[in-house]
Amino acid sequence: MTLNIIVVGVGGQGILSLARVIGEAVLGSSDFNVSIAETHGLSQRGGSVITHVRIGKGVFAPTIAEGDADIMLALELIEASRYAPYLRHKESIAVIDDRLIRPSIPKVRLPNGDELIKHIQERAYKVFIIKGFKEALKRGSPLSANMALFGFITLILEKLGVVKSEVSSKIVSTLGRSERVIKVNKELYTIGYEEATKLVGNDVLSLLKKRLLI
Amino acid sequence: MGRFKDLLKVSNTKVLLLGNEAIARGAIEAGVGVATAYPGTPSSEIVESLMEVKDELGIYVEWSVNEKVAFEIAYAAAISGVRSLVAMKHVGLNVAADPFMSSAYTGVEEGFVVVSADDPSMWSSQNEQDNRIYGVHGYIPVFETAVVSEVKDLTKYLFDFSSKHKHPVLLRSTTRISHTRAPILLGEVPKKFKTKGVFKKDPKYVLTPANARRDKLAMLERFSRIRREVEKFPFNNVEGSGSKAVIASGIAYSYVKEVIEENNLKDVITVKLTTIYPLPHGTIVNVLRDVKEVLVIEELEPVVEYQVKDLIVSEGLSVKVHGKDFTGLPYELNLNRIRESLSKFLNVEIRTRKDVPELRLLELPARPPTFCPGCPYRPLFYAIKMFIVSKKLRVVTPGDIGCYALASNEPFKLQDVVIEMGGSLGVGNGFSKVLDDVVISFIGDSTFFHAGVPPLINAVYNRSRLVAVILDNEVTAMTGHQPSPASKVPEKRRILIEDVARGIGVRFVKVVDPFRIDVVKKVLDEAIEFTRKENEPAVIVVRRRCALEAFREMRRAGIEIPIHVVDKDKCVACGICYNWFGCPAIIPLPDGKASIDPGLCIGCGACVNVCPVKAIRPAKPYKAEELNKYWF
Repeated sequence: MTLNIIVVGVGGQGILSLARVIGEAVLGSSDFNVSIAETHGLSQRGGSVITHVRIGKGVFAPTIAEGDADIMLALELIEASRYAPYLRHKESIAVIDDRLIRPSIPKVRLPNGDELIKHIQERAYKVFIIKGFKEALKRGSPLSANMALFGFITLILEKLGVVKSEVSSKIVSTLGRSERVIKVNKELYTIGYEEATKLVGNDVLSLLKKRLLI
Repeated sequence: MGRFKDLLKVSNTKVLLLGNEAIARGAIEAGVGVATAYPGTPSSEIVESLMEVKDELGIYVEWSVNEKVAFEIAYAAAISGVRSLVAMKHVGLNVAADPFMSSAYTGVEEGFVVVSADDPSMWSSQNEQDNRIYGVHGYIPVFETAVVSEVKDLTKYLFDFSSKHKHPVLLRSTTRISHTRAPILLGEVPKKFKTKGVFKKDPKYVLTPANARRDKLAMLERFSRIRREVEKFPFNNVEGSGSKAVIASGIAYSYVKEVIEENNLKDVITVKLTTIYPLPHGTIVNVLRDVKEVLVIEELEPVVEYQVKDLIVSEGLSVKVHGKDFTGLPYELNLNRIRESLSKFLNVEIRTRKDVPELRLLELPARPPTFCPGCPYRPLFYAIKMFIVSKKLRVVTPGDIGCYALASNEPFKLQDVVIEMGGSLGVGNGFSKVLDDVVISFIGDSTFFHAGVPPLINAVYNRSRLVAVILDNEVTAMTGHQPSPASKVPEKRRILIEDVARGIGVRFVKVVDPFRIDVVKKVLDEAIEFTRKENEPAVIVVRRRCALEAFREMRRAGIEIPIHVVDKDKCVACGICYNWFGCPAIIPLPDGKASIDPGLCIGCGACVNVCPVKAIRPAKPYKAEELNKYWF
């Protein structure tokens, strides 16, 4: 009935923008309904952030309940792990940027990256790790990391008949304050899209297709 | 992705709008002439959107100094025949409660929509009060949208409703309505907006006892007409059939509808309820006559549940009522809560897909929100913390509402009491009377103008020995950078906080730059000494612009941001920068030495003065003066 996507990360990483472009891409490509529940205010200041994106013929509730998320898009590893209980047990996927941000608490003990990923793997059907942040930083625009996830999810939603990739890439070309940032955004979007083309198999697609059809 | 402004020329098209933008659009389609607000999450984008289009439409929109003033301005418009809207977060209505109560007595001439954006689960607030109760308290009808995509049309309808009954209305939103984006079908934007009116003088507007007594009767008369009118309210609906009924109030309907469809539940009547107070009695009684049990689902307090119980008793019906006993009372609703409630009520099995219990939960470090890299508040609190520790002072630090409330967290712990807007100074007055500790109150510029001036006057008049640290980043930062009287805005008169302090009689007033840690410590020392000796308040104005604003402008101007680096040979691994200064961009390496994350550093350079061995420097030399233009 609905495809549930949670977008998580650390406030300031471009989570709202990522959720919004997904919504715009859906609305611009098909007659599916879409709703996005955002997090604003206090929690935006470097805190843990979750945004709920719901796609379907009829979407009513604004938020996704624990255990109901079909897809997790994560810009940070600790946050990906924190919201893992939202994933539909063994029937969901997670796409995670391989980025770990230290919470700024004195003497904080950081968890091990591999252990975080394992924690998510225990709950998801499949986990995909991408290196959007590293690629974005290399190009001098670290905030463009979210565009890699946008590219990745565009490929999936395209295969599900929800989004047209030309709509997504048109949206990407309108984001960013300078020519330089727009260029990096486009490159990151392409990286994500191509990664998904390589990594996402028919098993994943038929799993997600089921959610839209029920 | 277009801006709100670009949509003025668009109609008959579905666009993705934030709930708050939809409320703003509804007001525009209804011909609003005046809109006011004081910013507060989750309400801010309503007037922010209207602000964006005010010149194009020729309407009057302002950020007022607080909710009470915002309310009074919109009220003045409505009693002069100009349609108006005032928006605030739930706790803002506490500030505006005085004119709110009186507005129902006088009534209005044209549509007057009061929007209260409540915050169930307290995502960005100090409490989760349910403002529907204000409507019950003040004879002001209360409406809630049942689905986000209807909120634009509901807002528009409420303007006509208010105009027709010459009575204010309360539109209650919540975080999940205000901050959910949904496809909204745009209607027509009127060609012309009525922004000038006529005030017809009438004793009913003068609430002296004799007039107020007459007004009360007139108000009750208006209210009974409204009671009849909600019977045919187009946004209410009764769906399905069966031996049990669910009354789903406001956004609760969205959750209920989804669970009913998802599980193909039959034999249940659903009442989609938009008119919360007064209830559509006839509609509800009709439903209740044919059922044995009813479940009322609503977010927060049992406002509808109590009314339904009242109705059942006065109609002599025999219906068992469930509500909060099934759904629970605190926090916002979610699908799992509704699945469990409906499962219990309808005696059917509904699977909730909560976490599978046998899976282990990883222990993760918390990630409380924190000052942004570059935030001028970080070096300020660092300096004050270091000063207090080195002097072994006994200090109490009442705090306030704004980004600086984040100093309640590690490593600073310098917000001992945070309860409401302006409370730092009011509570500080009290502490100075009953404690021997040094009292340091923290309040931001916007909050100071909102509710901090009277308690500072009180401190002067009643001689309260407190140090008021007023943090002036020249903007209302937490809610998304709306201007305050401290901001430099074209065509507005900026007010300097130090002028206000001197004007009301504070004799110790100094302005400091928070990046100059030694100066902050010295001035604080002097201020404490002054308050001790004179038994009077001292004011320290801490001025530097919000880093998000300053750097946004620098980037726009094409200035290269001076990312900083740590000189590994000099660093002695003391940990001051990453543990006690706490900038998210500074991280420890395995050997304890510091390193700066180039993905987070924004190049403010505040950490340079913090390092005891001067190991932090810009990656490339840069001209500090050129950047300073943007900082002040």
